Amino acid sequence: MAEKLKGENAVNRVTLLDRVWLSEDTFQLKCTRPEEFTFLPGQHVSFSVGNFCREYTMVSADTDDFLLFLIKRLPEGKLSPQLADMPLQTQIAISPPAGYLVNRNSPDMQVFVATGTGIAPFISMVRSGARDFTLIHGARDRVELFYEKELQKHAASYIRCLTTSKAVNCNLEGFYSGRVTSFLKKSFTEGRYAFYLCGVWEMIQEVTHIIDERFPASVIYSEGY
Amino acid sequence: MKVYTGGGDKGKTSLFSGERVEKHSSRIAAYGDLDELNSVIGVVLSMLPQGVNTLEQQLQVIQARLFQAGAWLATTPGSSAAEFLDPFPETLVKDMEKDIDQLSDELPPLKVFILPGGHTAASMSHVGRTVCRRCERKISQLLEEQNSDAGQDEMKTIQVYINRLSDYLFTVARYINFKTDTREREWQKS
Ligand SMILES: Cc1cc2nc3c(=O)[nH]c(=O)nc-3n(C[C@H](O)[C@H](O)[C@H](O)COP(=O)(O)OP(=O)(O)OC[C@H]3O[C@@H](n4cnc5c(N)ncnc54)[C@H](O)[C@@H]3O)c2cc1C
Repeated sequence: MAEKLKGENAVNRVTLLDRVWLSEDTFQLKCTRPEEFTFLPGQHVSFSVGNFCREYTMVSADTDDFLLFLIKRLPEGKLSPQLADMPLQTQIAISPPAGYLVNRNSPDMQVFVATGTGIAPFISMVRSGARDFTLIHGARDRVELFYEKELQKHAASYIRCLTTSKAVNCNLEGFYSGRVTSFLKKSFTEGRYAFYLCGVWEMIQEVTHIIDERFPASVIYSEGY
Repeated sequence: MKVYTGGGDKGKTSLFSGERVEKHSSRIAAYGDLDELNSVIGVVLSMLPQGVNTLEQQLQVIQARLFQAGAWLATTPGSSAAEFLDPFPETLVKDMEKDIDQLSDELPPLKVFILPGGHTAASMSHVGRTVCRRCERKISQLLEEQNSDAGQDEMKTIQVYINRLSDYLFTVARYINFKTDTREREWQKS
């Protein structure tokens, strides 16, 4: 399957078409989609700018004729601030698609766990037809629950874990006041699942340990940064 | 991308097919040995003398194949993850046999037991040959432990491939010694 993707060995050039800020520090970047560039929803590419290469995950559907990315600008970062400021119409080199955080057709219930921009692979999966999944998304504030309405429409269950105290009225269904780790430890029904984890490694490490303890027969697919 | 993830700090690790297993499980032990084998081949490559370009190309191909084989060993047979893996067809074994035959054609016939050694690259190739044997034992154990036949074809082919690789590395050792005029020491009964 993955090895049959076209354009795998070529470096592709994309043109920046549009940038929309979704929160104070996170934006969606729209780029042209190179001809013959195919990917599996959940895969990422590597952007090369100057001496730096950084990976970003497509949030567009595999059928869209453009590529979309969800990028957090890290003030001290080397590449994300450049992508935040670069003029539209600039051309950038991107690698072929890579990564295995893609739909694995597991017989167990799919549980997507993301923090921050870690939601990216799941957006692409949903836009490409994924349904019947549980999504646990951790963010500081509601404004960081990117693509919330779209996800709400398609998730079987959507738990939004917010960490800033003013952010959430705990009585609202689908919201949890606290981190995803705390939700998984205290409130998620024990059982056997196919977990897909995406976000910073610290979260993945903690969640992996929780899964080992509370959901031992589950499978885990993860991608971290 | 970070090299360290910390996900395995508590003694478990994830297979490519997603299952969490103990780090000392047979599957992890098998692909760990395969990784060791690939590293030994890396050492052989870095020690190769001048004038053996064929070996350089062949060994590089083998390293890529071992990577492929490692992914199969890290995947529970029959799991849906297998569809993401490159196939490991029997033709790879045949290709290796051809390479062995071609190298052997240039060598003096083997009439006695020879002791591992000689040129440093040849000696390392002998080390690789013994690691092959260990890998084979581990894969054999894995096959035995598995309850069903589902998805075992690739594993069986990999087992045969590793067996031939051991013969190939033996031949490589002899070939390097021959090409560098390094004497092969014969085994003498004491
Ligand atoms: C497979 C993969 C997919 C990725 N997909 C995305 C994506 O879709 N969107 C995205 O914004 N980033 C994504 N990243 C992270 C991205 O590649 C860069 O690491 C990130 O943009 C920081 O690069 P930088 O040069 O600006 O900062 P650097 O100078 O590299 O320093 C960044 C530091 O912040 C940490 N960090 C990296 N990303 C984040 C983050 N999002 N939130 C908080 N801390 C972070 C890093 O661990 C590092 O310590 C992905 C990384 C990987 C490995």
